[in-house]
Amino acid sequence: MFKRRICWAASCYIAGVYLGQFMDMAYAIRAAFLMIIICVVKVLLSRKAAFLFPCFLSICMALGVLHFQTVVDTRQKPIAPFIDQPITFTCRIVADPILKENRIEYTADIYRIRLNKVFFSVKSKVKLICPLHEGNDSYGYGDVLNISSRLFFPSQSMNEGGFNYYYYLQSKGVDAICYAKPYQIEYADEEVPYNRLTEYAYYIRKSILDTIDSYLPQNEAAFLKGIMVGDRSGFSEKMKEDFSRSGIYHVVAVSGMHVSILLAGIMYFFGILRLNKFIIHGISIFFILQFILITGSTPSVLRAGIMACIFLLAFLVNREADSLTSLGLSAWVILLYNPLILFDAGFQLSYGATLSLLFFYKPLYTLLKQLPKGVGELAATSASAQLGTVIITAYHFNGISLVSIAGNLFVVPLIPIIFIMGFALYIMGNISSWLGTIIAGFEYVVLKLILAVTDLLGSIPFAVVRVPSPTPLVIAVYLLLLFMVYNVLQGKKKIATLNGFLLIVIIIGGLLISFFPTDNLEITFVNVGQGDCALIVSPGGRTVLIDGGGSEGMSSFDVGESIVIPYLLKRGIMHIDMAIISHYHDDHAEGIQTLFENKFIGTLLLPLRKEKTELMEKIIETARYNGVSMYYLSEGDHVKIGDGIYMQVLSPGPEQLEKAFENENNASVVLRLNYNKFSCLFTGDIEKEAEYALLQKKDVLKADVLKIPHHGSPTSSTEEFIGRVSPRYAVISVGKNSFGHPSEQVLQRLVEKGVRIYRTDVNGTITFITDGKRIRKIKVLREGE
Amino acid sequence: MTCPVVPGNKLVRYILGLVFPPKCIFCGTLLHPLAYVEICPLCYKEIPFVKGKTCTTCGKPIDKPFGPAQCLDCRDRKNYFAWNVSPCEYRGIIREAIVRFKFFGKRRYARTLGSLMLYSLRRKKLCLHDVVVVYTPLHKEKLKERGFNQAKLLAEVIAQGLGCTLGRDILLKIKNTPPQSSLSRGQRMQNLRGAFRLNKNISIAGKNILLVDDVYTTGTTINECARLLIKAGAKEVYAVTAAIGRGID
Repeated sequence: MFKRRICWAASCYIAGVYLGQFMDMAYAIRAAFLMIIICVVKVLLSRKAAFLFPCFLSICMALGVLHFQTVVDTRQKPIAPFIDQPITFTCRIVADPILKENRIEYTADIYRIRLNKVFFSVKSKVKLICPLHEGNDSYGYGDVLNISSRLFFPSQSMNEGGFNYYYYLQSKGVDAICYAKPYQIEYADEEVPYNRLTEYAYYIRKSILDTIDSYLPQNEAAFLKGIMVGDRSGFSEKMKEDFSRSGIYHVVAVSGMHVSILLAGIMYFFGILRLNKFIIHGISIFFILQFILITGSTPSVLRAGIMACIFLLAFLVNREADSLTSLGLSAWVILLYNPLILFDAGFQLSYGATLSLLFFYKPLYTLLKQLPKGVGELAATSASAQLGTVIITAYHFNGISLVSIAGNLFVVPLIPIIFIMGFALYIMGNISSWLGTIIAGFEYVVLKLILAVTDLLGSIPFAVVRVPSPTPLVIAVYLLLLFMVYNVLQGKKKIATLNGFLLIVIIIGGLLISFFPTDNLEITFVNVGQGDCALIVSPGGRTVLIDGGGSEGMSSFDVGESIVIPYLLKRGIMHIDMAIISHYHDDHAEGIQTLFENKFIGTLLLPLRKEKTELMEKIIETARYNGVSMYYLSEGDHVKIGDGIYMQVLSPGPEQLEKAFENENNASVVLRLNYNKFSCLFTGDIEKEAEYALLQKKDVLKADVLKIPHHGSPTSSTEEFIGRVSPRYAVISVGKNSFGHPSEQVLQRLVEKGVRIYRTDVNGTITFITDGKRIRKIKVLREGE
Repeated sequence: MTCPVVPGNKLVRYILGLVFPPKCIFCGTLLHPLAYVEICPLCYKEIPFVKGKTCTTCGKPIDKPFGPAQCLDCRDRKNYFAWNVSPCEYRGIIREAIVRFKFFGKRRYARTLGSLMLYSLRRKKLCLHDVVVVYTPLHKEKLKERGFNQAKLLAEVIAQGLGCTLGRDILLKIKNTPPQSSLSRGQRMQNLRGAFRLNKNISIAGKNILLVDDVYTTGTTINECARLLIKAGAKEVYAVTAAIGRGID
């Protein structure tokens, strides 16, 4: 037991960091203290150190929880007192600016903050976001700036399992973001202290990139920069798409392969010089540390670099390194540096690939013995790496590449050539331009070849299968399956049988649970920012989507692609039986169009109109093009979802349709969802007039849950309307906006009526689960204040 | 098996043992972080220890129970060394381990093999506190190629375990000869003629010498080195090797 103690400790630390998301800080402290006490008592009683290690493991876990919580806790950040305050801060840009479509992003170190004419010395890292305008100054690495603006913490994830910008930036050491207009920025006329080491690494990186740029055309240069230092800024969208579709994205993320090529190169070069082996190993460690710095210390290069250093150190202390132990130790070191890196897809992929290589490479290689040696090795390598990474890519990117083994077989053997020629290009290119040109010529041919192949592989239809994010159960089953395969390959029949038995039990259990008819109806209000999106899942598993969010105006942000689809895939939903658009406004109807294009939608229900508007035409066009069947909704329609579950269409009546041209909002579809005794009213964006019209009719308006009309605008939600509906819960689907939604009046009105309010901007995703009689559970991503 | 005095601070060794977990040199099974002699209990049973009747000079196992007390090689020549001991026979897992040790850069095996040698020396109950530990040399070219002298690594462990001085570079190899193991019995003597030289800067006159090598087959190398040492005035020369071949008669 506990043979690889470092691996155990690292695993427990990782588990602690993961559990930190769900655990309370105070609880973790108590648990840690309890463990320390147990540890001391056990040792005192037994006078043996045998209990020491398990107790140490529990302490590791508790420390992992603590570490995670301290890093995540915004209150503990040094800049916490300055958040959302009118401040002026002095900062130094520490990375190359990143050019986005309509903005430039800088990363900067803050040194000093001025608040209310008092200077505070604060050390922190922020992301500066500046609008991109013609004629604006653009700043470069090393510029010292004074900025008068406000700082904000990045947004936490909007929906369950959604992208967490705060974690993401924290994993890169960035604490806050700042939106700065050009007139708020000015050069500071001073020198600030900075880290010489990173400065030096930056300039080497820069000179490598510049050399590559000066010798190769755009696409090939971008590719070579990716391979050499992991810089993917020059990649076109098409290249990114092709690379990920053909499953060779890892070659442009600096990883173990690059480190081992570098190491082999250094060893060979100094071997020729006939230096003492100890000195060669020492030099190699030095070069690898440099390489880590130059490539920007991404998790994968950190992993490979730390492992390589452990192997080199083993030689120096005359011992042998153990791969698993080194892997565990490197993970521990990285997480001690920053626990949030655990949630980074690159980190997970790197460790997933290495772990499965360690376990599956040898058995797979013996299976593929018939193949020629080189091919067998490559196939075994990429197949075993795939085994570990497939579940991670499915989870993060919802795709599985089917051609990746073919792509890797072709591309991987060429990487060392490209890498070494790249180094030669860097060195020779700076000595003489014609030598550089010759090398660049060879390099160009190889790069062009690979790009052509990835282009070909990427263009194969169905190269990537879109899959929903695996649930914890699926992940567990997959891991057990891997464990079983490993035992079978190792010839450990007894464990394998036991394992197989356990697997069958879990799978049958899981299937039983999923097929067991529940009577729970789920209504989820998805947080799409300013806009509406509600998902209904019936007990029979039918899915209905009401609106799909969208971004107002000309913004290029695609809500459907970046929020709705990821949310559906995280929930494991691949198909929407029925999609309903409440009215033809961008913040309701835009996102849903992306869903047509991705073949998510079976049937589309549209509000009836007398005259077609531009947006309506466009939606009908896309829907028809993608083979979606369409129906029009107006007052009096019934939409059946399942047994005893149906929706009544209460509006738009003829009167609203007549005026739709004047006020689109008032012609919104109003739906009342009925499930036995439970009801929920979806009101789209109706305003006063439509509300009054509804009140005039005899329809029952009473509902348990009311989606507040028009994001809580003061022009809707009249006293009488809320009185007639008399909801127990009100949901306001709202995000950051300039209209002042939701209005104080409306909130006040709801509070007076004793309605419990949920807001997507405060609570994130809001889910009501009901069995038709009562509301069983209300799940929110975040409890509001 | 008792462990020789292990060098180094215990805490440092423990931490090193955690980062670089000791593994059995024969099968790779992980051992306790503090393990110095890296042999797992299962492989320990497999080690071909030298047992039964042995040659009184070179310590080679002799099959015939009632024959002469010396082996054929030792009877045939003038022996310059007083005796040789080896813990193991050069076959089975020991042979594989020594091949990995010499040719695949497994320097760490020296600790384990050296400990086995110390063990057999201790079993002889010999008083060896004032010897100079000398190792058989490697030619410069070969040293560059291999990166280390395996006999020197073993000698370091033994000198440390006995608490004796290690005589560095007392013997030098001046001819890059083909390896003894590739030659026949007759060619071996010829091969080594004039291959070694004594370092004149270091005086060993009147001292007892313990000569260390990795494998003893016919004893030609050991005998040649011993001859030089005796000629330089050494009082007596003993030898210890990690493994020994079996006698052919």
